[in-house]
Amino acid sequence: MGFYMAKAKKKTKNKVMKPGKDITSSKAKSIHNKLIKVVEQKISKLTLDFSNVENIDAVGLGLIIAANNSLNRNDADLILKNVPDKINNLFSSLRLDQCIKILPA
Amino acid sequence: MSIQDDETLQMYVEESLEHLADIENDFLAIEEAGANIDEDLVNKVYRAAHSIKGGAGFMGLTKIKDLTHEMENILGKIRSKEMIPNPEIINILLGASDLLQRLINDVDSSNDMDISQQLDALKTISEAPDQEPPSIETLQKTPEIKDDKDMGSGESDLLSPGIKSLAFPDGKFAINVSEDLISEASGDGKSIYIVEIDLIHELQAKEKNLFAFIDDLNNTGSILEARIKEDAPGNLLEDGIPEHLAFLILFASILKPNDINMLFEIDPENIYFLMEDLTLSNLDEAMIEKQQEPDEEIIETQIQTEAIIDQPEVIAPQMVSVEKDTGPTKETSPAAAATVESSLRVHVRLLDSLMNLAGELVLSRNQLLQAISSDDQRVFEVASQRIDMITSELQEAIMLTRMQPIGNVFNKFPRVVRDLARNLGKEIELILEGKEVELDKTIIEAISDPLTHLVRNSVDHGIEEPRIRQKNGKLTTGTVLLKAYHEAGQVIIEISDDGNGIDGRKLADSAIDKGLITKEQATNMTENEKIQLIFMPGFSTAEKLTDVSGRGVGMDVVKTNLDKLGGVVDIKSQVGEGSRFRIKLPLTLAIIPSQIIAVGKERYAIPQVNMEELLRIPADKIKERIEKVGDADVVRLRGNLLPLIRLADVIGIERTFMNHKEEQEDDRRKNIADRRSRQNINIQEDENQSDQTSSLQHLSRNPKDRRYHAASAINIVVVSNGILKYGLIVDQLLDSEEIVVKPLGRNLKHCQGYAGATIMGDGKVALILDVPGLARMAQLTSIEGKSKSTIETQGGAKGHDDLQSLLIFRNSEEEQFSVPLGLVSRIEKIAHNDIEELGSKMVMKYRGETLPLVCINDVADVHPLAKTESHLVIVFNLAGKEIGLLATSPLDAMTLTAKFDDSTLKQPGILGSAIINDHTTLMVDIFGLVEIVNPDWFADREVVKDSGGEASSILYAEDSTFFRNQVKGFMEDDGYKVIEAEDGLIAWDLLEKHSDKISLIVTDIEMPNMDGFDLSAKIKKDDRFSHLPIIALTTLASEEDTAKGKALGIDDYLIKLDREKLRDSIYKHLQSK
Repeated sequence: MGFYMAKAKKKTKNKVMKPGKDITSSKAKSIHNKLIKVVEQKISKLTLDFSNVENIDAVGLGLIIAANNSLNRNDADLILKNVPDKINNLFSSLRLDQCIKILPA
Repeated sequence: MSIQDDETLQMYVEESLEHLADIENDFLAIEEAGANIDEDLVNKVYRAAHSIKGGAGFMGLTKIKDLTHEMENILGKIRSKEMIPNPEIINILLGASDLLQRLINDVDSSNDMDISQQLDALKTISEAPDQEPPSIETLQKTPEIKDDKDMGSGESDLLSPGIKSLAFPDGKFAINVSEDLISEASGDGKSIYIVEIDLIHELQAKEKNLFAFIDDLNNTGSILEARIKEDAPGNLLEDGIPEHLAFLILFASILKPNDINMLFEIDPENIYFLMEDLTLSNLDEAMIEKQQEPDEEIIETQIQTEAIIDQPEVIAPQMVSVEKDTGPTKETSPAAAATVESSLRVHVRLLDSLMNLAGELVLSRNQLLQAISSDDQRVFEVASQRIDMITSELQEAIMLTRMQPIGNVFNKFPRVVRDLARNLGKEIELILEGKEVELDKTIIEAISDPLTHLVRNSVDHGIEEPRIRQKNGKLTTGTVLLKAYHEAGQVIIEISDDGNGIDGRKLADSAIDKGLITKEQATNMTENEKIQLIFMPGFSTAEKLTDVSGRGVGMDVVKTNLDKLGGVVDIKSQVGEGSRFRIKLPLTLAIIPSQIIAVGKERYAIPQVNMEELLRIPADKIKERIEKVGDADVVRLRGNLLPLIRLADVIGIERTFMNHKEEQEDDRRKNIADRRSRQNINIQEDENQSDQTSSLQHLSRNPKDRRYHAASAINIVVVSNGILKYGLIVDQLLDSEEIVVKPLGRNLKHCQGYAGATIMGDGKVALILDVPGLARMAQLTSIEGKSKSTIETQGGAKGHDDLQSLLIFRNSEEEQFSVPLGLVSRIEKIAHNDIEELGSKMVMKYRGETLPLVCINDVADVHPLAKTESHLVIVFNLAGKEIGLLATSPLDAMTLTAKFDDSTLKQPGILGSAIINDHTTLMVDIFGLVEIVNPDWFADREVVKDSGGEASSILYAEDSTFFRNQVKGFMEDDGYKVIEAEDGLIAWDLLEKHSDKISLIVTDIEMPNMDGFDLSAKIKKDDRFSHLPIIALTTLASEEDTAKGKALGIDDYLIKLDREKLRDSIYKHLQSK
């Protein structure tokens, strides 16, 4: 039991990432690389802290959803936190909150 | 959302008003169809309401939105056959559309208006239990939740109630949404779409901003539900940077299917339109359907143009919106409301041709300038010809921009007629013809009120109640026909109905009661003239006042309004069969064809719409054709007397005439028929000048008298405004021209004789004459020469005393006499010198024969004939011979009810007396008088015996004791037996009682209880008596009465107290029996 607990604890490893101000196609490549690295770490939860994010585009959005897909496949969750109003509004318009947990700023 | 900028709002208002213009007639059609609904039509109305609601929601016009929402609910129920559109429902919907129109017209304050009443009414219907529960079949037909196959997911079984799964038809993916959300959105008048857009491929690739895109969506509608297709971006590891991000969105928008893709700019196949039945339709299909609404293709281009042509009423610069030429596929819908519009739609083709003409004008101007600078006469001529041509074309083209179909006005009448008919419990079908006929915008706007009045009149007064119609053998549904067509360069609008027609007699009676005309005038009027009385101010015939009409104002207002438009109205009516109002209107008010005339040194224009004919009376015929009645000049025109007005006198300028040297000279004649010589004016004023030539022959004439010169002929323009027709005497008749109407300046506005002014080719101003205005100035009324004599009831006359037409005259100053007017053949005025005394007898030369003359004092004990220079000779025709009764003026003819006393003052030659105008008036017994003077004139006739060998018995019905005694005396003198009756009813009883004896009936017409007409009709219908001849006696033998009598089977129609004719008639009828 203890082993399993320990194993479980290990699995609940949280990772927080704090992307820069743009999650856009211009930064897609680097964001993609960073995300892959995190996802490969077998974490149980990835929190993206949107404190610095000012802009996001469709590709950026696609990256986040792809990340979510990848995490979900590993039984991990993606959480977006400190999402600025502007972006939060966009996410709720897109009903992104139905598949990703979003915590507004 | 707040009210948007003005331009958008204005567009919304215009569009909504167009929807409303249609909605009304559509409601009526829906009502007519009843349970058997025309789905297309209901859909169309639904969409109209829907569009209005959509815009209102968008603009924050909450009251309009709420109202249309409720209307839509009801329409939805009608469409789904949950509700049958009965008249009550349609009434409320019509009321709502009226209110809606008001709200939209005053869109700025619409949110403050109280609409709760209409709203409640609408809610009451829409929430009322269904009239008929929809059948199972209907329920099954109603497409609702789609089956699993269509949904692309198997979730439907698990859906909680009220949640619908909407899927792309190809089953790509589905979206779940609450039903409430959908109905709320469509309740806001929005269209609902399902759209699939690839945010990366279709948005990002086009360098569109995601935020801006979502903002656009939120600004033009609302996202009801959305789904990111999560698997599209794939996995970070395998799929790299995502290339697709499919976004599925259920979007409710004010944008129409045609416009929705402006937002997305994607393959239209990925946009689906959600129909009201929750099925999805391809955007292309939805677009086709929407295009059927007339307004979609019109691209509004607002162009400021200036009114190029002067209008009689100043017209502000107008907004012209242009309809793009869409080819022959679609007609311009005459949907615009009949209200005054500040903008109008003009075909692009027309604007193009204007542009062309403007271009040509510029070229011609250049040519002209060149000609002027080079002083080249030939080029100059060519240029001026071109400019002439272009100007005409330009004028025509610009006129066309102002032309509007009359349908704009006609379209409001189905509603008017329907509502009125409902209120009055009548069944009426309205037929509209010639909606496409075009008229100037100004006229279209101004014609609306008069037409409404006439249509309402037809419905209210014309068409009878179904019960009455049935009784009269007509279809219970009456027909009102509104028809417009072109005729001789004018537009004719006819409003006709198959109702009970206008009864001229009733109108005349009513006019008499109201003191508008006298009885005497009424008797002299033709049926048509009586009908025209309806246009007199202060006239109404409605037996009971309704809120519809019968206010006693109205028809005269109609007339005045039409006069202002230069229109002419006339009426044809047949009692029992219907009436027809015919309005003649000019096509435009700006340029009118007219006749130019001259008086003195001035020229004037008479609009041709008012002109009937030109009359030129040669100098030597003037005396024959022009006569004086009272103090009015009249001309004989094809058997009718036409009143004349001398234009110069009315407008107060010097008359001139062309002398034999073709010079203009002042005209000093006082009477039209005057000669230069001032002699013998009295004789000239006689009515029968032509007959007097013999006595005038001794008067010499100056051979250079201008009357022998052709140029001194009298020129008469016969003008009419439909009711009133008169001759306008002018000095010269000039050309007929098309003139441009210029409004009169403010200072001249009050001159009632002028309708406007125009500038002639030589730059001088000519005033345009106002035909009705001139008649008013000349105090000419349609009831000509309203005489001073009034109807009097004197001597305690009973209610049913006969109306008598009497000629009142004097013998001397002391005594007043009267004779029945019907016996008088004519009246002459003679000089005392003309009387020749041959022994004890007096005669005069008259028409080449000798006319015997008598004086009353020859027989009766009255004052002798006053010795004056001239006398009146009242000519009677008795027993085929003429005799003149000498008398003195004043002479008057009056129609009155007076009680005659046939005892007090009765003596030979005098039948009796009555009080007339406060004078004891002796009734002259002209037969008695002549019989005494010339006993041999009246030959005795053999008495016609009846089958029993006895003198025939005559039944005589007459309510007036005086006449009964007189006429009875005539008949008894001839040896007949007379059975008297005091009215028709008594006469009938007596006839039944003495049926074996009576051989002939003589009856008065106007009697209490049963009048002569009814009595005659009863007799002629009864087989026992139908063979009996009937002779009617009357004092008022109008053509109309005579015709009526003849139709009833009355054998002869005679003037009362015409003893000889009566004797003849009795003899003749008894003989031939």
